Amino acid sequence: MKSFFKHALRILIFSLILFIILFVLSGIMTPKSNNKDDGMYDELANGVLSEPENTLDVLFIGDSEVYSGIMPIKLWKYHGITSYDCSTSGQQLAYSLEFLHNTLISQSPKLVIMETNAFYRKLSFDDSIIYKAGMILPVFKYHDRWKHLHLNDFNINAEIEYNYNDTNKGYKFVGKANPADDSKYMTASKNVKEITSRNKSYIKDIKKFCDQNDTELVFLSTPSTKNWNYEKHNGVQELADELGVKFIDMNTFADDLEIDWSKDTYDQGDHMNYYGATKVTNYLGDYFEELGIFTSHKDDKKYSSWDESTKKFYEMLARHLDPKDYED
Amino acid sequence: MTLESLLLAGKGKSLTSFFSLSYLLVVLPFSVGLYAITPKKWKKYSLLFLSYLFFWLISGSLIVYLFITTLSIHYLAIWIDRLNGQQKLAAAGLGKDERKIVKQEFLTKKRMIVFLGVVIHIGMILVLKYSAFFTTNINTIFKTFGIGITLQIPKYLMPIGISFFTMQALSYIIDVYRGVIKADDNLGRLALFISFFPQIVEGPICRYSQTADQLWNAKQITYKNLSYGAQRILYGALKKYVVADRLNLLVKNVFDQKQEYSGPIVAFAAICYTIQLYMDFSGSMDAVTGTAQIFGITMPENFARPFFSKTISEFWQRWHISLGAWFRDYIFYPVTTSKRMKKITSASRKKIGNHYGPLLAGSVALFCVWFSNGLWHGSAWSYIFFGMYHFVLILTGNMMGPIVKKFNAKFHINPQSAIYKGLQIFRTVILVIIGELFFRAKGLKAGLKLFKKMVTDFSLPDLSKLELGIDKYDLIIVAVVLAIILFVSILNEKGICVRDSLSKKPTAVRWLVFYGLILLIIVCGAYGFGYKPVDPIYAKF
Repeated sequence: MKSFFKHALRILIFSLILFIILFVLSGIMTPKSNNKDDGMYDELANGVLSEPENTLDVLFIGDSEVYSGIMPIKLWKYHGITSYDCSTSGQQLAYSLEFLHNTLISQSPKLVIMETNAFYRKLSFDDSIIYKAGMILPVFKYHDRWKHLHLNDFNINAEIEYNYNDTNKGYKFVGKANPADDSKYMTASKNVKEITSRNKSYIKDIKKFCDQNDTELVFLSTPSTKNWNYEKHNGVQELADELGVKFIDMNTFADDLEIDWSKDTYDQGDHMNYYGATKVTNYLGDYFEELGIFTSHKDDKKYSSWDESTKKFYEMLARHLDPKDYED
Repeated sequence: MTLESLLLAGKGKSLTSFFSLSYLLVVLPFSVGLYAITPKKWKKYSLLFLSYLFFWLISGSLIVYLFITTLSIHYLAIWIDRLNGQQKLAAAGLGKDERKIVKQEFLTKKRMIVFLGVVIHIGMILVLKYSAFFTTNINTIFKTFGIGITLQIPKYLMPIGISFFTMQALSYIIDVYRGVIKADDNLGRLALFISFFPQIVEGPICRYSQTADQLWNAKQITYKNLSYGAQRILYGALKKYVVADRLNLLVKNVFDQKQEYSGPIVAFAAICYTIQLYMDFSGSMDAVTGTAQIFGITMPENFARPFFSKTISEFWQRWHISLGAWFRDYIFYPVTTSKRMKKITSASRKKIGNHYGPLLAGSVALFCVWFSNGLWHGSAWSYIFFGMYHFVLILTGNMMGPIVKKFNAKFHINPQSAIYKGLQIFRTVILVIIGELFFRAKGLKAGLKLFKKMVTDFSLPDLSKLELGIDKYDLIIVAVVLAIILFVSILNEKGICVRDSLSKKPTAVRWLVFYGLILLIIVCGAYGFGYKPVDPIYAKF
């Protein structure tokens, strides 16, 4: 028994020292800004961290369906509402929760709109462990940065500078069209596609976190013939009802939105292109107006940078599109 | 909700990698914990339970194949044993000639039983693993000869590890038939020997005499075994995470993409794949051996520094040792010692001498071994080619032996000199790399195309424009870890056990080494959130 405690103590000390080393390494590996050059992943989405404090009305979180389908600049231009696409390719719900945690430190959006495509993305056990380990010790998240460390990375007490901002506010422009086959799109069904218990648990955590921050959570499914069907709609609706969350499934009224599947998608129905995104964004703008909870910031000088971003956004559109496609 | 989804059957496919977190953080600690708290006399049952639970998790309902194998082999072996007893009774009191007749009668019966066992198990593998390959080839033949028949290509779900546990099972029944071991009347012991969870995915292919008793006479977990086992797993993780998986991107880009690369890049990718395969497979074996060691079980080693080999023949005695030994004992020897082959050998000895005489029978046996070896790795012509490639190399080595000897003597070349040995090793490594190029290529045609590129296109690519998925930092870190592994291998080759030597060092030195290894894996390993881990290469065989 004596030797058991001796060995247990030895293992404990070994682990403790290892933890301290990893803690120091985490300080070194953590990017010192939200800039890609400083090692920040998903620079566009993390651009949200440089938005001035408490200036965002709406936060969109989710996978590529968000950055392809929602244009915050248009919501600003036509409604004076500030928003940001915190979206990344193949975003896992654990990552969505992390975005929310990081963003709500400095922002108090009235709405958090969560795209539901990620609800059905499987999160492996290994991924969930690595994710959690990365939250505690960022060396597990940023370990690959060993290749590109700068001298100032070794100053582990350095403040992180959020100096990168995306003028498109997380939106990624794609103008081309690649038609979709919508013959089997949203065929009526009463079957329910189950959301995994691990994913449900993350969604519940997100809901809880929103409640704690007095932010309303809304589920949103943007039109997609490839990713969406009625079984998934039913699954999300069930969960939305259970959590008391509003669920807007644009797939159930894609015709009303006048989505033209021969023109509004760039990858055969997987994602919206610019034209599809315009229709989705217009609908959201009208929806926000209807809610009546937002006041336009258009005349507020504090938000003047949004006008500069709008100018750059339209300059970008002008480089890719005919004026008739983007002018009012 | 089905029973399967309730019990997570087949949901643990990631467990086939012994370096997955689900294995290292859940399965392994759970297994060690359960084993540790189980009273000594029940420990063997806890190991059996854990092994079947593991197989259930990775294979789901396909566990039925494991049951079929275990039960059939168990009862067939007992049947052989009973015949041995009956033979003794029948022969008691008989004269020499009558005894011979009785012996022959029983031998025929026993052979029939072994044959039945082989037919059941090889048949099962042929159907599950090779029927699609055979059907595709039959369809090609039909098409070539204008026969208007197209057979439907069958698709079967194959349990993970079937190639490994079937070979263990067959070795058991053949050894019982040969009288090397006695049939085990304890079904539990046999079941544990066949299913022991660390070895069932990628081997090593153990013999009954090597592990069955060790497993059944389960020991207490000791601090030394726990620490040695953990160190071995850590060493394997270093190979897998930092070398094998880091090289995978480059290998995939060159071998799997449609883009054509110049000869030097193909050659470099073939070298990288050879390293990847070795690090992946031997890394997994480190995890298997390490896990077994935690339970106090000594597994046979599957690798013995293969890249120190001076000939291809030697290489295969050092690489995937348990597979080579299986083919040697259950294919090579039976063929060379068969009556017909013995006759051929003795006749040819008289005509072409003592060296080349036995080569004829040996070559036939060698052909059978390498044809089986190629096919064992997979149902594709590229694997058969891989087998034949090594058959030709070994055969050439055997044929050239006396000529090289004479040549060396004539030109006063000392085959024991370091330079000579170094050149032999270099030649062997080159030949192995060429073989692995065909092994990795997506089909024989692709392999031949890559090989042609490698030996005809010497144009140097513009490295600044190349996107191989790997950068100079990756190559540096891979080189550093390979240097560590080379250092350990040299010590092992000299008979020094690194873990024993390390255990004699002061705690500070030991811990420094362990922290170094752990940090190398954490910082430089290929892993991350959303990263798709590379499946263990040998698990698919």
